[in-house]
Amino acid sequence: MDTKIRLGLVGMGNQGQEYLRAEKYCQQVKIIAAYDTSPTIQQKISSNYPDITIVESLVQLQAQRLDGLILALPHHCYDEIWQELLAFNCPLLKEKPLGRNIKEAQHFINTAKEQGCPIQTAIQRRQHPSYIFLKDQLKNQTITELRAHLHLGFAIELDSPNTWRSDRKTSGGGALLDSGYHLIDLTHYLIGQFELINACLWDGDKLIQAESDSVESEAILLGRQGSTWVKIESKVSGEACANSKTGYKKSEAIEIVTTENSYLANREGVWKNNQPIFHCQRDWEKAIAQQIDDFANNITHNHWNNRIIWDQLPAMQMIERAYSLVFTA
Amino acid sequence: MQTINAVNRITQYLMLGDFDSVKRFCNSENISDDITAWSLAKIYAPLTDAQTQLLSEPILAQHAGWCSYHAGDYDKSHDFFTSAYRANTEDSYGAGLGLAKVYTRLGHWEAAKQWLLYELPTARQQNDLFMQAQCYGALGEIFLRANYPKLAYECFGNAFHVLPKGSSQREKQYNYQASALIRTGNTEQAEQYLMSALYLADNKQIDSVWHSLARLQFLWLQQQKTDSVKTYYTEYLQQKPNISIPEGFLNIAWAFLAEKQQNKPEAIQLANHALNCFNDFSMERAWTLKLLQILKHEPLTIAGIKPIQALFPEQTSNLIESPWLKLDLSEQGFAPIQAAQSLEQLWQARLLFFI
Repeated sequence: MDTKIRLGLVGMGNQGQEYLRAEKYCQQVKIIAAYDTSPTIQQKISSNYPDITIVESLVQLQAQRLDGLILALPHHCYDEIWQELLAFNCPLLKEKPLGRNIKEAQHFINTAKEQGCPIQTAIQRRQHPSYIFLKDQLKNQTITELRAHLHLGFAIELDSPNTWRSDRKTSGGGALLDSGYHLIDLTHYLIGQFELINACLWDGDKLIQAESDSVESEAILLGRQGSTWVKIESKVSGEACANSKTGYKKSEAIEIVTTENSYLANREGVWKNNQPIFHCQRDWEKAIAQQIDDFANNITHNHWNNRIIWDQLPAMQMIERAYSLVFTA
Repeated sequence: MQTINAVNRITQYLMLGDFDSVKRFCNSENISDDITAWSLAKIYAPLTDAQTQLLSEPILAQHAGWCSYHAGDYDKSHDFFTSAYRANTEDSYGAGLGLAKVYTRLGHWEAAKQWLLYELPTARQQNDLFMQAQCYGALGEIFLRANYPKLAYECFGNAFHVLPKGSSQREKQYNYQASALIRTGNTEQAEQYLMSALYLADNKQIDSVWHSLARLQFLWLQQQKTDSVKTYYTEYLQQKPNISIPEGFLNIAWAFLAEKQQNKPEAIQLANHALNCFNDFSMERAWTLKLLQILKHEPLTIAGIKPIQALFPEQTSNLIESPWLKLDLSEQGFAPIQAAQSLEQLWQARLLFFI
């Protein structure tokens, strides 16, 4: 008898498909059914993943006797169907951000709590071996400076027409809410909460200064936690790079200076004082798989009071503070 | 205990950049001579001979460096700050900021940037917020002059927000942010910052008022407007500024405006006035002199600036701003003024200045 945790997937766009690809590495989980409103996507997934039941409605999905749901929808889609999702009465693994703003995030948490549906935000970087190794290295060290950057390396502008990401109402924000969420969460994971000092948001060369403005393609934050100073840089594009197809270099790293050492960590490994100390063979899909397994583990042991769960709101609060600082400048 | 309390009080004022309160406190309270001397040196105030005897060589050198800097004697200032840095003691801290300011004025923007990036981590470790604000402000100025206005805006924002609420010199900081936004094309927001700067400065911070109006006049010129701030802000302009730089900039802007309105005699008169304002500031003076030569159809002379061999910090361990270390500004500087042959090129050369 198969004792694996039975999960359903809501949303089979780019993010949803990452879960489907990662599932083969999962120990404890089986994605048994998936739902998307697009017939084209339904057809594509049906042919690529014949073992998964593709359903045409949330009602059909609910009939699948699920232990939990993975939610991978565009940011604005949850608002309308939230009650229907809670009606599944099961734990939810929701793709970040938790909400388009802090109010929505709190609404999701509170209503899910009332319904008895534990909610976990999917923030894969915490599960990545490099960053787990780095955190362990930092024990008992005094960190003086931390710099985190994530450059997606895209050439496309966020304000290109016809994408939900280009509209602040539907997306909730750009580089800060999206890739910036990872960096803020990872910084919280490594050093704990920090206070925001300054935030700069740009849409290309245009300064973002009001909520009605376009969506940011760059977000730069300066912060501190006691004697530790923090800089976070999230960009849709990145450094110019002639060898890249897009013209921009995709790049990600956390750099740290302590009173004794310097560290650099990315998804390939960790370096201490410029010497490699950890190499990571595991790819991104395995980090996602680890996250799904952790979710399954939480379901199995009914364990919803760990740090991943408790740390969901602080990242949203920091993002909210940054937007607020910029919008009221 | 009294000494500790006095040092604590002065340090708190310094952290807010509140130099007036430091001065008042030193004058009104019965504090020891060495603390008074140290405090006055920190705010670049004049020192008596007796006070200079109480201070270390690097602190005295830095004090002399700032006095020379404000008098426009960059050679001397450079020597003083270099000597303070080379003393390599605790009191050498801050010499990097002085060197950066001198190099900025001389067009050595790469060296200036390197010194600020060298000084910032120490300021962070010492929780010296005002030094951080000064360094970010100076860094913003370099990025502005070197045509990186987004970085300039970020630096000016850091300078503003790193200080506690209620800090001094906010009106100046609004002017700085406006400068960056004029360059990024966010002109509406720039005007809003200038309004805030004028509102905060009112008639109390007269230098800042002139800086705001000079920026506003250049902005209007850039927008092809032919209005003069003189028409709308006469009452602000009744009182002359304490320092002549903003007066020079405003007169230059008016000279460009007069020229645009084909009133050459007035343009020449205004440029001449600006030239007098810039007596102690070599590159501003060179720019104005060339403008006058073009307006008067005189042969163009090449603006000379006494070369200085720039000193670089030995080692910089700055992670927070590490990408800026790689940004090469060595080809930047005041060369466009020397090369300018036309009014249009001189108009473009305004971007090399902090306006």
